[in-house]
Amino acid sequence: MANDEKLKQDGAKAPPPSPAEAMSTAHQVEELADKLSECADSIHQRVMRDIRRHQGQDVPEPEQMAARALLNAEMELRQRANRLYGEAAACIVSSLGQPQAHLIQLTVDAADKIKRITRIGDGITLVARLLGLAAAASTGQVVPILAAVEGLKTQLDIVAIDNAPPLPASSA
Amino acid sequence: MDLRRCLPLFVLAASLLLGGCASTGPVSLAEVRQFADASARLGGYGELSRRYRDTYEREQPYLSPAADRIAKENDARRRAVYDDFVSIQKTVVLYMQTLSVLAGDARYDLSDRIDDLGNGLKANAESGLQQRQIAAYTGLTRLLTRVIASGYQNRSVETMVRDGDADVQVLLEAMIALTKLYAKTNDNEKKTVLGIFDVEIPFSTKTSDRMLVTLAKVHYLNKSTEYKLVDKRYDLALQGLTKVSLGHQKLRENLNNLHGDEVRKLLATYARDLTKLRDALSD
Repeated sequence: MANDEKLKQDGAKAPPPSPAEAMSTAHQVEELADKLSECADSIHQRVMRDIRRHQGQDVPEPEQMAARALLNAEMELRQRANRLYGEAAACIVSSLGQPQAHLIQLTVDAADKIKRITRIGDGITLVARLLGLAAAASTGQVVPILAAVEGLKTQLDIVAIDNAPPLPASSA
Repeated sequence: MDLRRCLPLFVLAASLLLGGCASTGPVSLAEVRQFADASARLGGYGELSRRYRDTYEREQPYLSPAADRIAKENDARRRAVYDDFVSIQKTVVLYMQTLSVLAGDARYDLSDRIDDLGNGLKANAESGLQQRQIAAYTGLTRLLTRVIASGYQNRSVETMVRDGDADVQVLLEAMIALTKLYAKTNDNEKKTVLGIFDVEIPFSTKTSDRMLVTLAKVHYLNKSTEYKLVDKRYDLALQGLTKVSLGHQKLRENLNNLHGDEVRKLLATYARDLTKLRDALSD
């Protein structure tokens, strides 16, 4: 009893198991449940063998009672097995908070990137600037050319920033 | 000075500035998107989770009082963790949907805007731009949009898959393990429900039992058909989850070669298989 309580307290303090640990515990619990299910199967086969022995003739009342008692035992074993399957399942999900949180964060980051991809308009603007430059060049006038070059430079900077690898978090 | 002569230089400079990204080739992550879409839409797990949660409702009429006491507790426990089962799937679906958006070029299809630009160019033609230059600019526009878009998209898809793979695999492994547990629980439910009839029908030999036996046989037949159909669904769901896991693993292994023919073919095959499984599950 004392040991049990100690275990409970440790369990409350301990961090959730890693997914690999949880999976391994779950497998052990599942194996035990498989054994119980197999026992239930064996009981059922045994009962059916006895019934078939009568080849369609009436089964005597005492044998019927025994068969029903065994059927109840089989049923109870199946519920015990299902309890363990449930515990294995609960054990698996108890370890998944971290991976789930991480994946959700990834989708949030991606949503941010998607917003920036829509700024591909920058690329279009760049081309428009280039056109402005071309038009200016074809007129041979200096002021529009300089203005167009300035516009192009700004736009190239914007594209370069957006294409650059993300800055480290500390400087953000 | 003839500034017209400088023009090709500007174009060249811009190409050089931006051309560095061009080695990745045109945006073509269609197969990644198909795979992610098919993965996000794969059915089975959600429905089988619900079925697992509702086990007691189905088995209750068949249970002995002793078994019923345990079953009631099992029911409460299953209901307590059901939301966790569902949230695993939701996370994976959200991830796959996001991946699909990142890999989808349709959403960032700029051809309309490029055409607008082309029309603008035509209007500009009278103001001094020559046909040859227009063609060059249209070409450059297409190159620019492709280059920029492919740089963005490749990197986003890469980052997402590289950073996400380990956790995606953990969650898929969990979904596979849970589906197997659902199947085993269902197996015990099936044997509980059908088991009674195995035993009681041969015991009911009196003439007055005849109607009861007939009804029992019909019920047995319906139930065993129902369980046979459900058994197939566990199998299909497991096949699907395994394919999603394998497909994502291949994606992760080939991040540097997403445009390779072999990888694209492989992902397309996974997407097709997943769609087939989904169709089979919705039958």
